[in-house]
Amino acid sequence: MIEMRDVSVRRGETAILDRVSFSIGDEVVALAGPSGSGKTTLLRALLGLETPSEGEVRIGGRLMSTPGRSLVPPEDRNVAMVFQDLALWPHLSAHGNLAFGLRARGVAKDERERRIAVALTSVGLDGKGGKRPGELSGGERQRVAIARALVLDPAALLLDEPFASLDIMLKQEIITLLACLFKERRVPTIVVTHDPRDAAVLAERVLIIEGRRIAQQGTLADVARAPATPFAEAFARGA
Amino acid sequence: MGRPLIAAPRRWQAQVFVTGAAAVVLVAVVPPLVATFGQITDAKDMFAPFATGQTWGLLLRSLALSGVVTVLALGVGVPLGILFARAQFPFQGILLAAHLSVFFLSPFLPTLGWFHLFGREGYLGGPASAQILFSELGCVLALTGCFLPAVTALTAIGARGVDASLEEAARIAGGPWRAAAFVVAPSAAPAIVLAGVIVFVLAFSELGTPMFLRVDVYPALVFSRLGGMDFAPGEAAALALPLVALTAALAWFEQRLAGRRAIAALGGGLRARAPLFAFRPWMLGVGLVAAIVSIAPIATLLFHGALNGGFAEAPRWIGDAPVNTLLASSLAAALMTAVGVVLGFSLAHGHATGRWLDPVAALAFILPAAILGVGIAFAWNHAATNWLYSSVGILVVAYVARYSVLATRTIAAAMAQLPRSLDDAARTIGAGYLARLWLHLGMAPRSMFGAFALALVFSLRDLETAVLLYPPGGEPLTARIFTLEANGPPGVVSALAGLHVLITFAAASVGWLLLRPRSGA
Repeated sequence: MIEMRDVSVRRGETAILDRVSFSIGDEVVALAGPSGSGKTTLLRALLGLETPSEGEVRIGGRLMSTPGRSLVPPEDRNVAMVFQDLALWPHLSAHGNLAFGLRARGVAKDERERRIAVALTSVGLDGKGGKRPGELSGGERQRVAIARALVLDPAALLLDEPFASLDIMLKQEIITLLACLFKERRVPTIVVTHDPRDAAVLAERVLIIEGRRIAQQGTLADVARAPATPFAEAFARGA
Repeated sequence: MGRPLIAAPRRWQAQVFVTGAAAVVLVAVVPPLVATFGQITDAKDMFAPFATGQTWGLLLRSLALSGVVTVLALGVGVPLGILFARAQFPFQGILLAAHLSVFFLSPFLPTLGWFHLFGREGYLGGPASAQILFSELGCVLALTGCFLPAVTALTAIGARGVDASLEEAARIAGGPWRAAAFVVAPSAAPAIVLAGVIVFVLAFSELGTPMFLRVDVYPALVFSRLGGMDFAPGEAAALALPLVALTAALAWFEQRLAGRRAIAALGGGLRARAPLFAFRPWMLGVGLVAAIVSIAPIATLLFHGALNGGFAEAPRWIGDAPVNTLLASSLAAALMTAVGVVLGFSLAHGHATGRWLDPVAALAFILPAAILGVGIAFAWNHAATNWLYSSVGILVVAYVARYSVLATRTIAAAMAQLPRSLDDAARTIGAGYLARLWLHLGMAPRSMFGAFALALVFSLRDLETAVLLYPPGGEPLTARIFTLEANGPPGVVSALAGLHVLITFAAASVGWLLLRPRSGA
């Protein structure tokens, strides 16, 4: 369970996230909103990379931050993220990218290798563990980023516009892969997307964020039936 | 379809400016190298110095000494650089500035400060501390203290330039320490390699500190063949021969492991993000120690100069040295900046001239200063070029030869960060070379000031080339202090050193004022 209660994040006098509240169980939620609406800030606050000035963040029932204070550092939150630019460490192989977090958690070598093998297989990258990101295709890099997030068995999974840089064929491939993985592993998952069709395929619910606040949340059908804002209406209609 | 109306007639601009800038670098760098080899082939018994084991022993000792200084500076400077760049603690900026301050000075000056602190008659000294100071260990520690800030600074810039999401991904997966060790440091590796090469080169070239501490080093052997009883320029050139292999190896190493990657790594130094490490009191302690180690010898010099009436006496001894220093350094820095703008633009865009001139300029920087100095003397000490050799112009030539790579790379690093599409947009609307150059300077104006400040500070602190080449009556301040140290009043020497510190800090402060981050910038 991911829970935000009246969370605000401020830079000086400016609120870049304003009294945001929601909770997510073991489900996939699409996070949508216009550019600059606060989507990335929301993810960063969940990760612990931003400290909320107001409100509370809870993950798995555990209190992560109180106003002005981060109680649990990012590395101890067990939240995994697939970054928009993937953030694969270029000097490490695919295997090295997956092993990094496991080593930090003190996972024994045998268990580590087993989990890496399972993760690479699950994203269709058998035999590619020795390759560095620069030697992989765009789709393969995307799969490594997903495997790197999943190999840690996270308590929550965040994906920041995971399809932004993919062509239509690759995007379809990755969406199919993610849909399978989400069915297998039921953890609270947030997928940031601008495309309502992605939300329709992957997500059970939608969070619409506008003006740094949650403008609406519910199923796509709910949003389509009674859109709270013009953006919500346009988004729901696009599905 | 018609003929291009704008771009073609302006092609001459690129040709003129790039050729001019390349000519400046080549004229400064190539003749000394050619002249040095000319002297070697002219020398009658060129291998005589190598007949004794003493020469080889000295070479090995210098290599070992520089190697130890480099390892120590990297061992301390890399963690320190990451700490200053990616942690947050009180007085961080002031402590970093204090720590870096010592690098702006010729190492001979802080060594003089350490002498007044830990020498036999020093404020905290005695026979035991003096024995340590006047030994290889003392020399290594003094040089490490002076060159450590170069590693700290380059590591910090490299660490701040690491892609934010790479660092954050590592932080989430492995925590701050693993992120620093396995992602931030490797990502900043080109900058760290560059720092290592710089420290090794400067430590190997260093003349003032080892000579003052009575530690025999190879550059002193070369230096001794260029004056006094042992005057033997052919031998000096021959002694340079083993260093050519070393220089070539270092140049290859630098180009292979740093080179253009260091330019990219150093270019993204101002990306804002949350600190990697939260504040812990020990961080403040480490920052304080780093600052004190740098400031202590400088403060001691000023104190010693003031206590012994040196500042009152200084005007009688100082002569025109400050004017000579500022004149030669400013001219050289201005020339290096002008050249750096043209070649930096070329290097940042991967043009052929920039690509092949960069290793040439890097070679001159890597070349031990004694050899470069010897070569410049051979190349320009002729009747036809005496007008240059007997003026401060020869110092300008020496500084440009030795340090132009720093100015060029500073500007290239900034320009390389600008999206290529900005230049493409200018080209598509018909902007000529000068217009594009101007556009890039407008987008990275601080790089030009940074290049000037860096070139100026390196020229101001230079002793090793200046002491070989300064013309009669054109003695720069570092050379004046170095020669006075042997027979001048100690208080005056300290006061002159203090004045040099103040001049250098004034130049560095102006640079900082021009380069400091501004809100919204």
